[in-house]
Amino acid sequence: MHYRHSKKTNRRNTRVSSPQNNRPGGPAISQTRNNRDLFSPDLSGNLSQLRTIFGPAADITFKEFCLGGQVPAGLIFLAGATNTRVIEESLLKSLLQPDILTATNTGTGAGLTEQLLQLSLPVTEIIPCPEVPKAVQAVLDGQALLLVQGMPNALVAETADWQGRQVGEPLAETVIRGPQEGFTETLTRNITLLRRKIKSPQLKVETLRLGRYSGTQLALLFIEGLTDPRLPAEARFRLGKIEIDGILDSGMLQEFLCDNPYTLFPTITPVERPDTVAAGLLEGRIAILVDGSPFALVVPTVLTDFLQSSEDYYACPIPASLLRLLRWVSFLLVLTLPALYVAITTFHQELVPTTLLISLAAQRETVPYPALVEVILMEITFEVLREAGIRLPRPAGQAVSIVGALVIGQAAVNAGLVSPAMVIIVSLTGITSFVIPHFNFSIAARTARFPMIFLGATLGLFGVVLGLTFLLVHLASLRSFGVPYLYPFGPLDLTGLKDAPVRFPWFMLTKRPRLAAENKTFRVSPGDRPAPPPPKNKP
Amino acid sequence: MGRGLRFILGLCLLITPVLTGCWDRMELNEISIITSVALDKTDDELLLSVTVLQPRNLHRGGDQSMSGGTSSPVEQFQSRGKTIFDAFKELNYQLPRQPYWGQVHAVVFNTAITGEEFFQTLDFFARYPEARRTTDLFLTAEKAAGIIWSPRQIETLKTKELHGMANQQHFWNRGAKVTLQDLFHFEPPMAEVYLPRVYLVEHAAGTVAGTSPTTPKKIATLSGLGVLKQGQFVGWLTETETFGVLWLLNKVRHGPITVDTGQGPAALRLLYARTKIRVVDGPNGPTMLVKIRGIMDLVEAQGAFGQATTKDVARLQELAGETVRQTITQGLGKVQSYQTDILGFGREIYRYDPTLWAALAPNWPQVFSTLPVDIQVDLELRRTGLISRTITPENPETKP
Repeated sequence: MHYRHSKKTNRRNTRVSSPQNNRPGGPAISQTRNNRDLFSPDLSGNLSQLRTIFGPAADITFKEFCLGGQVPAGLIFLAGATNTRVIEESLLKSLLQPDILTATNTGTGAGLTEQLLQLSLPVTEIIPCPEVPKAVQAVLDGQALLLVQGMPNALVAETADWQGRQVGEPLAETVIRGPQEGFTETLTRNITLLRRKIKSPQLKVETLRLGRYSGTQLALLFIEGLTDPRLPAEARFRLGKIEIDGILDSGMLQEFLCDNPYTLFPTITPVERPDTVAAGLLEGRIAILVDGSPFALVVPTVLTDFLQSSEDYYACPIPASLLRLLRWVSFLLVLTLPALYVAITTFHQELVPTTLLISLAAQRETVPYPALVEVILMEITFEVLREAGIRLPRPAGQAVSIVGALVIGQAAVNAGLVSPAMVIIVSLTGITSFVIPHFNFSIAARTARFPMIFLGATLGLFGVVLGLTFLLVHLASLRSFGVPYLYPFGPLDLTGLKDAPVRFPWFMLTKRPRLAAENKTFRVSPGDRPAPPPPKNKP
Repeated sequence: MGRGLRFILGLCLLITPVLTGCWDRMELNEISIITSVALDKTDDELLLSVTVLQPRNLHRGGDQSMSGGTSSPVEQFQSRGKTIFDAFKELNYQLPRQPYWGQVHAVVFNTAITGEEFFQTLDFFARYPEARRTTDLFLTAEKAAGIIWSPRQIETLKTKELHGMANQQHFWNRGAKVTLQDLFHFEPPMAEVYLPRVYLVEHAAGTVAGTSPTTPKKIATLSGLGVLKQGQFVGWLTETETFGVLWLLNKVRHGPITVDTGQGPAALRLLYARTKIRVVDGPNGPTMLVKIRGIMDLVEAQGAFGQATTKDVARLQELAGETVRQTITQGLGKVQSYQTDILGFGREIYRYDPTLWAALAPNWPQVFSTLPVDIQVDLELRRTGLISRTITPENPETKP
C-alpha cells in the first residue's frame, strides 16, 4: 500500500488541522491581525464592530441587558440555530439575578472573565474567546456570545440546536436484518451514532471546516492504532487542498478526494448506515462526515465493497455468500446482457438452440428496426421511466408505473415495435441493476452497458469481450487512496478473499483485510470456532 | 506515455469498431435459416433441395396459426447445378434473403451421388464458418428431397425429427448417428464410412400433422446403415447386420438381445458392453481377436425359464453370447462382402505391425474380405427383474 502524497503531508496538514481554520478571502473575516481582531473592554465598541461585520442580518439577535441589573452586557446569537430555552433559562435568567455581582468585581479589569467562568452558569460549555473572527464563527455555528462592559474578551456558550430530521430508516440502503437507523443531516448526531457503535477512546474525531462561504463542518474519523497512520494524513492533505465556495453534500467532496476523477466507478463509498461505517472503521478505514449530508464517505474502497450489503455480515454465511455471488452475476448481467443479446442475434445465430432461434426469428419478423435500435429504444424507455419514478412527486409515481408497464410490456410488443424477447432482456437488466446494493455503483454499470451494446452490435461477441477486457484493465488501474481497486483479486490476498465473493463465518475472519489496517493484532481471536464440549471421561 | 498520446491511442481503440463496420452482421429477419439439406442426382446434374424456416408460421409458440394445419413451418427450395457450388449459387438467387447455414442439422444424400460430389459437399460444410460440424448425415435410396420434405409428426421441424430418430436408433443400436465431425475420425478420414439409412414408409392415416386424416402419407424413418467407399455407395446393412457391425465398432451400449431358449423366447437388455479388438498371428496370417464383455438385465422371459436358478442364468448367458456371436458374424460377413473396411481393422493391423500392414495394404480390400475373425463373447446376467418366476398359464400359483 502506498500513498502518493505522504511525504508532503506533514508540512501542509498544519493548515487544516486547526478546527477554527479560516479560509483566505472569506467575506466576514479579514486575515490580517491587528487591534480590531481582539475584543476591547469597551462594550459599545465591541457591539458596533460586530454589527458592522454582520451587516444587515435579520437572523442575528443582539440582546443588550444589564448584568445583575447593573453592568451593561450584550448577548449575540443566531436565532433559530440556538436553543431558546437554554438562552432564556440558563443564560439570561442567571445573568439577570441581582446577586450575581456580589461575588464579582463590578469594576473594570480582566478578573471579570475568570469570575464569570467560576459562576457555574447552567450551560454545557462556556469558554473565553478574545479574538473577534473566532467569535463571529462561533455565532454562525449557533453558539451564544456574551460581552460585558469592561471585559476584554467574549464568552462563548454552547447553545447550538440546529433543527433537523430525526434519525430514521436509511432510504438508500435497506436491510431486513440489522440496525434500522440511518444518518441524518446533523453532523453531531451522526458522530454520536458512530460513537454509540464504537465506545472507545481510540476512535478519533477530527473536525475541520471547508467552504469559503458555507464554512461546512467536516469530521474525520478513524481508530487510532488500527488505521495505518498514513491514511488519515493523506486524507487531511487532500481535504486541505480543497478551496471551494461551499460544500453542500459529501458527494461534492467525493470528486475532490478520489484518486481518478475520470472514471465511472466510484472509488469512495458513500454510506448512509452507521453500522456500515463502523464496520469500515473497525477494518482500519477512515470515515469523513459532512455536516448537512446523510452520507458518510468511507475510504479506501474497493470494487467488492459495492457488491456487499451490511446484512451479509449479520446473516448466516452460506446464504449470505450465495447472495453475494448473485450480486456478482447481476453486475455482469447489467453490463453485458443486452450486449450479448444483440451480439448473438445479429452475429452468432449458430449459438442459439434451433427451437429458441425459431421463436426469436418469429418474434423479430414484425419488428421494423435492427436489434441495436430496438435495444437502445427499450433501454432508453426504461431509463426514462426509472428517472421519472424518482423525480415525480410521490402521488404521481403510481401513474408512471402503470403507464410504464403498459407501454413497455404490452403495447410496444403488440404494436410490433419491439419483440417480446427484447422486453424480457431489458426488464431483466433493469431488475438485476436493482440488486446491486450501492446506487452509485449500479449507475456506473448501467452507464457502461451502453458502450457494451454498441460494441456487441458492431463486433459481436468479440466486441463484448473487447469491452470487458477494456473494463478490466481500467478497473485494475484504479486506486482508492492508493489501494488497488481490484483488491483482493488484483493483488491476490488470501486473507481478503475470505470476505470478497463469499463470506467466511465470522470465527474464520481472524485477520483484518489488508486495505488500510496495520495488521498487528487479530480481529477475531483464532480458535473461536464453536464446538461441542469434549466428552467427559467416565469414572 | 504522455497524456495526449494516451488519449489519441484510446480514441483510436474506440473508433476502430466504427471504422471497420459490421462485416458479419445479419439481423434475424434478414436471413433465410436453412434447416435441412438434401442432395439428389438428376440427368447428370446435382439437385440441391433445402428447407427454409418460415418463422411467421411458427409465430409465438402456442399461437393458433401453428396448429392451424394449413401453414407449414418451412418452405421448400430447390436448385440445380453441374457441381455442388453451382447449385449453392443458384439457391442464393432464388432466396429472398441471405441463406444462413448455421442451423442445418440434417444433410441427406441420395445413393446416386458420386464420390466427388459427396466430398464437395463435405468440404463445403467443413470449410464454411457458419456451418456446424454436428450436422447429422443420412443416406437414402429414394429421393432425398422427399425425405426432408416429408411431413413432420411430433417435432416442429422435420430436421429435429430426423435428429431425434438418429439419437434413438443410436441408443438402441439399431442404427448409428453420424455427424460431419465423426467422418473426420474414420481412418483414413472419410474414405470408408457408413451413414444411417433413411427411407419412406406408408404411415397409418390420421397421425400426420397438417394432413387430412383420411389420406395416408409417407413419412421418413430410419433403420440400418449404408456403406460408402470413397464417397460412393456400396450397399446396405440390415438392422441385424448393423447391430453386429456396431459390436465390432465398440458402439454397443444398450442394445436388446433376444434369445430362443428352446422353450420360449427371452429378452435381455444390455446395461454395459465393451468390445476390444486385437490382432493375433493365426495359421493363415493375422487374425482379428474380438473380445466382448457385457452385463445384462432380464427384461422378459417366457416358457421354460421357470425359476431363476444359477443354472438358468448360466444357460441364458450362454445363449445370449451365442446370439451375439451370430449377429456379429452376420454383420461381418456382409461388410466383408462389400470389401469395405468400415471397421478399422486395417488400422489395428498397422498398429500391430506396420511392416505387415505395408505388405497387406496394396491388396487390402481382398485381404479384408477373407480376414479370419475370432469372436469371444462373455456376457453376464446380473439381474432378473422384480419377479423370479415366469408368469404363465401353467404356473398360476406364481406370486409376483
